[in-house]
Amino acid sequence: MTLHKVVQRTMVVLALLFSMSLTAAAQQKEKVLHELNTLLVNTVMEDLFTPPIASRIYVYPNIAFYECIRKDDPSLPTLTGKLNGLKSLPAVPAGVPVNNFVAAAVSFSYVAQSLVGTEYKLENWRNAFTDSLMRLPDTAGLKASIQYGHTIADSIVAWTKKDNYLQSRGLLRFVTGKKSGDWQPTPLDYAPGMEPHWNTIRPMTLRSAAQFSPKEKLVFSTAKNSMFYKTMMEVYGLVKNLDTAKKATALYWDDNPNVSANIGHLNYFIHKISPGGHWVIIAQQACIKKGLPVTKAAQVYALETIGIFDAFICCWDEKYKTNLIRPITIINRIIDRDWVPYIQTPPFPEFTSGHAVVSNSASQILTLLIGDHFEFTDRTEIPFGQGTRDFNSFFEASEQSSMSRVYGGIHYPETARISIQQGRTIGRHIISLLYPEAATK
Amino acid sequence: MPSSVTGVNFRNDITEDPSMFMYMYENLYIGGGVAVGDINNDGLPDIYFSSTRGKNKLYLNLGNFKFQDITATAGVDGGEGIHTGVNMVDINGDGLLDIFVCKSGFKDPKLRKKMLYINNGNLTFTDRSAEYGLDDHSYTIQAYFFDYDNDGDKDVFFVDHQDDFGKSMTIPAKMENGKLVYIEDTATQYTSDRLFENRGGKFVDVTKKAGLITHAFGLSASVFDYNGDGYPDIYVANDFNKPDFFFINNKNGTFTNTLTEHLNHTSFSAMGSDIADINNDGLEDIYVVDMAVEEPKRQKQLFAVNQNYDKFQLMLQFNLFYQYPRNSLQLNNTDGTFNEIGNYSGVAETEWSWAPLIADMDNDGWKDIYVTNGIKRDITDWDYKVFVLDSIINAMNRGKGVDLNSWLNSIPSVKTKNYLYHNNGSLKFEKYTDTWMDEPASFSSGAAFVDLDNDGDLDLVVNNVDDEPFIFKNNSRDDPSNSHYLRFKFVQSPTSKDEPYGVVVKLTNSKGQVQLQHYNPQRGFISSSEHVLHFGVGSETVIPRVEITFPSLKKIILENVNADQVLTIAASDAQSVAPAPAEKKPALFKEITAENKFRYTQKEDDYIDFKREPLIPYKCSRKGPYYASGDVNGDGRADVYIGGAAGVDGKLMLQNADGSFTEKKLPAFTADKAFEDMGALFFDADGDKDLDLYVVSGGAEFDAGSKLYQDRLYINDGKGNFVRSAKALPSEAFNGSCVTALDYDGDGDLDLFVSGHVLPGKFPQPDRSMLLQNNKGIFTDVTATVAPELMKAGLINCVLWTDVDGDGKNELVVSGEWMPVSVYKLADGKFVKQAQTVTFTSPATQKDTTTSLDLFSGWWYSAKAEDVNNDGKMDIIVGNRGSNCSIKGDFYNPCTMYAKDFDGNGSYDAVLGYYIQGQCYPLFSRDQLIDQMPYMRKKFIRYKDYSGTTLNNLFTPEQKKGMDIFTTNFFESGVLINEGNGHFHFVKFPEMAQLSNINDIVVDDFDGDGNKDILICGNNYDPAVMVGIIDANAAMLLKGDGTGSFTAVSHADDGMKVRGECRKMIYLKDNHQLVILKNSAPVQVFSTKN
Repeated sequence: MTLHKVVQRTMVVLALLFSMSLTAAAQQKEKVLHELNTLLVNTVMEDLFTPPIASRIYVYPNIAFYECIRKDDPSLPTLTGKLNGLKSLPAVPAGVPVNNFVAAAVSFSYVAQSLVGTEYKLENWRNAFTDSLMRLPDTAGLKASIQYGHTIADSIVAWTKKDNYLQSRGLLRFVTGKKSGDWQPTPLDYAPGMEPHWNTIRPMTLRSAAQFSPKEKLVFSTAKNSMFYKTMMEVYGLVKNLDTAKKATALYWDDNPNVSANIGHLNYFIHKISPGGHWVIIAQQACIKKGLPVTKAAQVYALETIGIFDAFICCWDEKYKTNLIRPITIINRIIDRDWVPYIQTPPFPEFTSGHAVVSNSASQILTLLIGDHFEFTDRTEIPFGQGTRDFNSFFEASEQSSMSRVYGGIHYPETARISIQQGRTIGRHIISLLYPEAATK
Repeated sequence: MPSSVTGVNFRNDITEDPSMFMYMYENLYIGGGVAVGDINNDGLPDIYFSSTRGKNKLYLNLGNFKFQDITATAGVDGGEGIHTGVNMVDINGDGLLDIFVCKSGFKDPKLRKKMLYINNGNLTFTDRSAEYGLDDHSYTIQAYFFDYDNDGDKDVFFVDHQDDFGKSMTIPAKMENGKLVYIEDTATQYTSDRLFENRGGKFVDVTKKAGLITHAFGLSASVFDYNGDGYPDIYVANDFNKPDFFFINNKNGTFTNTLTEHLNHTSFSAMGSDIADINNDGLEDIYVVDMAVEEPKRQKQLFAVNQNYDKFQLMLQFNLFYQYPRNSLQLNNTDGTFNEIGNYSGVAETEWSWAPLIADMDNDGWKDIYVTNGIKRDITDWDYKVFVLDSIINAMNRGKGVDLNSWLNSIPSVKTKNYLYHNNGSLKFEKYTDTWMDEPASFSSGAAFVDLDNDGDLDLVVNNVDDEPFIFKNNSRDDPSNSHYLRFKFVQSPTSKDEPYGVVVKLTNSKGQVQLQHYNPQRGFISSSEHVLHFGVGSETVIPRVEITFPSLKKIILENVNADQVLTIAASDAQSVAPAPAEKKPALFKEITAENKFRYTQKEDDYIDFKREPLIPYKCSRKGPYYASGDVNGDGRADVYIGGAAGVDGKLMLQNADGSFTEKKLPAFTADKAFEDMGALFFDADGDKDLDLYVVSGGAEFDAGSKLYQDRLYINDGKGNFVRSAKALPSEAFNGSCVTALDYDGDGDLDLFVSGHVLPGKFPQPDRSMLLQNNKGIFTDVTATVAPELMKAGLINCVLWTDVDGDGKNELVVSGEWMPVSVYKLADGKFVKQAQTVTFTSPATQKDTTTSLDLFSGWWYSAKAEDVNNDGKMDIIVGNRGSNCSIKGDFYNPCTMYAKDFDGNGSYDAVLGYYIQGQCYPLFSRDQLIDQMPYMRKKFIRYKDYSGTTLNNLFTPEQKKGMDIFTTNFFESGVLINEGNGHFHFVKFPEMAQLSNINDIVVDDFDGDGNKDILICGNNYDPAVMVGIIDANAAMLLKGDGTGSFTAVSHADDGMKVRGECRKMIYLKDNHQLVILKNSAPVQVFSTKN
């Protein structure tokens, strides 16, 4: 969706918002939240952030929004005191009537703006939003609400600055290993390992990046009876005989934010949504289908993006500790020099599977918050030419996304299996910590 | 000349439709070629243009720059398909030029059938390609006719390319016998280069037998007899990952690619090529063009090849060679090797280039260079490829119809001017595009030079995409006094087996200067030039000697030939000439490496500085090997210690009576192998009259403050057994470089100055230096009190202890990278920097400039104190980086680094900039800056926001507060002649010594003429991939005349065929032995008394 359209629709929504009955207006507020997340996901995609960095950009604005809006629903607990480093947030100044929704939207836009590259998109959105509010007949308390949203944003931004992200930019870039099972740069760009120090980023809910390191590992071996060799041969055979359905699945979930194509000097980059972004949009579609009010929807976004964020930290910790070679490298080396995966291999080690861990952490959280056997149609991939897909449950989607990496030839089946479990464990942990009521369902 | 005059209204309009557009065939935009030749033997050369998708055109020259289109009646429109290279060549020896047309592009082989238009002698032609066996269907860019087997007829070589451009940038590898090897493509039909042998008029494919099966994306070839054996060799320029080929003719019908034996690096996207002697030394040089942009804004916006360190190493691992995305000018070294001097000569960047033509455009006797360039679609525009194209694909995915034209029109399209360079005779070329030509910007492709009006100078014909061709009349002969010429035509006589292609003509003028050319009209790119050899001879009206050598090595020698004529040469007149008696005097030095007098191979650890500091211009972690020499066991012979890189123990080499060396293993050195050894020194530390050993620890690869920076002192027992002293040295953790002994306090024992290099992780901040006072073998750090100014004096590489001011007492002279040459004098118990001045000729303005020596900042790698002009004053020979590098810097336009932790994340951000066209621009790309400083993404949302940003505008005034600024304003090497009273006169070395950096200097009278000569060694493979290795001078002798002036000695005369990264020279004068120590390679050993 273009920025212009987002802004336009938001203004229509707002015009409705304050002219309709309270109930009707409440239904419009969540639209603003959904629009904001769409804008965020699109901006991240256009700026070409890598999947781990994208997960960091999704999470902070949604926490800001949630912390403002939850005050409209006393049943929703604060996240302060539970997230690492977020002890408290500024309270509403006494005696000032604050519209929590306005504060939430404003704080989201400020936090998002601080994190993305293309700042003006968020700035334009906010200006259109506040301008249209000012044109309303009753503007009492609006200024204070905007100011409060800004204050919350400042606190959240200050909190983001202590998550070691900036410091991690200065750490040693990845040095490729030389042992036979070590990960190697892959075509087409042969880029060095991406984000080797992502495990130094402060997690939201984890004690350490290694807290959910899977007990079961995939260990490199060229012995024919080893788990590794068998699973490698499995992906090799699978990709060689890929049917149309599996190909479609691989492409559907190919959420590689930066696919490079290279035909001689005609090289170019296709921007795609990242795995995390895909699940933000699934959450959005589920909220809309379920008809969740803005308060509950904000909780879904906040917990979902926390799940995605922590999943990346766990997964990346595992990736660079195990430093496992990708199928394309080892299969070309020892099995079939002409074998190519169906989708492009992203530039980081294989174990565990980022998509599988993230998707399953996300689907676990959605299942607990929204329900199992929740049928939905995913429309996220329309802009990427992959049409829509129907799912009977969040788990069905996340299992399919995990297997899609195997069909695509970039992960081993055993890795997918182990990663699914790792992701689910992270998701359950997050719900039991941040919203225990849902965990017991 | 406009088409209204010439009548040449041909246009190569490239149409695109869904059956054929750029994304289906990338080479669609290479454009069309030009072939010139006199098809009707009326004395006026005619012109044939190829049209990429339309009809080729033949124009008959009517004289006075008037032409007539006779394509239709001649029947030579090229037929269907995509037309590429064209030739005019007399293929059947009937004295009439035939026309050959190559094709490529379409997948359907029928559309790629080559055309051989045989000249019927009546201005009509007939395609007889099938009859001649040349109806080949491969993907061919150009055909090169030549006589590969010297049987007197023309054979032909086709430069072909693979059909799957998706394979152009991949590096497939597999395990073979436990070793990783590169996977070669298996397909060769239609895609391998081809050699067809002429067997009595029928051409037969002998590619396989000749060993010429290839897998590459070739774009041009240059045929020349590189080794003068009479058999033509072939240089093939290949686009993309595959390096170029250097096919040596084995004289038995086969060829061998020996590229790496001859060259140090090549162009990455090699396009057109030409071969000619650019410096009139009688040896032909190679010029290959690439896609590099000179204009700074476009340079950042369009750079085509985004090379990263890891991919570069992977390519090296699989012998894909050092390849850089810029033009290469390979200067012939006289010893079978070439040095690439494109940056020195100023011809490295000429936009997206196609045809380089080297020819004497102004008849001054020096060959100039013309380069065509331009691409209709700037597909390498970063905003287009990263943002615009994606939004188009996205719209298509949403079901929004995107028609081909609106897609193609979204690609930036900018016409550029071709380049014309004037050869100034000293290995440098000056851009004369606007001086000599009134040429508009264009998308130019193939080009040919030809004297269209027979006035004795070279006119130019250029085929343009979407425009009429350029036909340039050359006006050099308007004033003939300085533009005389001599031209040669060749007739093939039926009785001779000598084929004129490959004939070499050598002129010697009245001053003894030589000019050399070989006859081969197929030059540049997809084109063929005139069938004449053209020499400009300047003001000479009589040429004393002309030597014409045929491939059979038969000769015609003419004397006192009048200029301003066209000589017709018949092969039948050639005579067998007994080879001239070998009057060549033996070379000065003789390589004796094979005699194994000294065996040592340096092994460097593969620490990658760029992983810690991605924006630094070069590594600081591989400066070794260093050495020390001295007699350690009292046998009267000099022994040697060679330091080891981190993880490798230092080696003690004891000299035997026969001058050979034997390693003596010592546990003390093995125990300390974790250290990276830098400078080493044998000296008597404890006054027991034997040589102890001080080894500086450094290497920059450990974190600042690491224990592995602790220097070591090894005590000698008098018999060459060394044990590390536990307490002699102060505890320190500085990244050191060199150690020098000096009795500064005059107490009779040797104190030490240990210089510091870079502060690890904070390039280019200096780490500490130390002055160590010797008290009965115990050393105390007295820097703070005795030499406070030397605490952090710079990234020091060279320390001299010598008497500069002639007062009988020595001074300390230090120099290094990003710092000047400084003199420190001991006064009142303290070393104090002395005010000195220097006069030098500014390379930028050629004017003498006098300045404080403090401003004489370079990347000094070596220094030696020596009175080179025998005036009793110590001069200082200084080795700098040289001028053959993309990073430039001079006194007025210094290479500059802004450095600070700009984003406050604890890592030091040092950003290098250098001047391009008058402004200082950062070296690195937008994405590289974002990787180091994430906030740059907010500042430069699009690439165009960054392109053209100067170093100064990269940061806000607020950010610039408190930043460190480092500059280098001098890159040349030479001698600081000491003129007394604190004044030096800098006399630079000759140009051949400025082509690389100088790592070490040895002075002696090597040729025995009574004057001091200078031996230099150099090369540096440390620079970042963006910069490129410095590799154009491994070793060289500079002959002194006793006045401080030096001339370069050619390798034919000095006998120093040396390659690689030469760091130090061990000169064992007593046994006339010179050992060249290299990084990551075995030593080379020379006898200095041949």
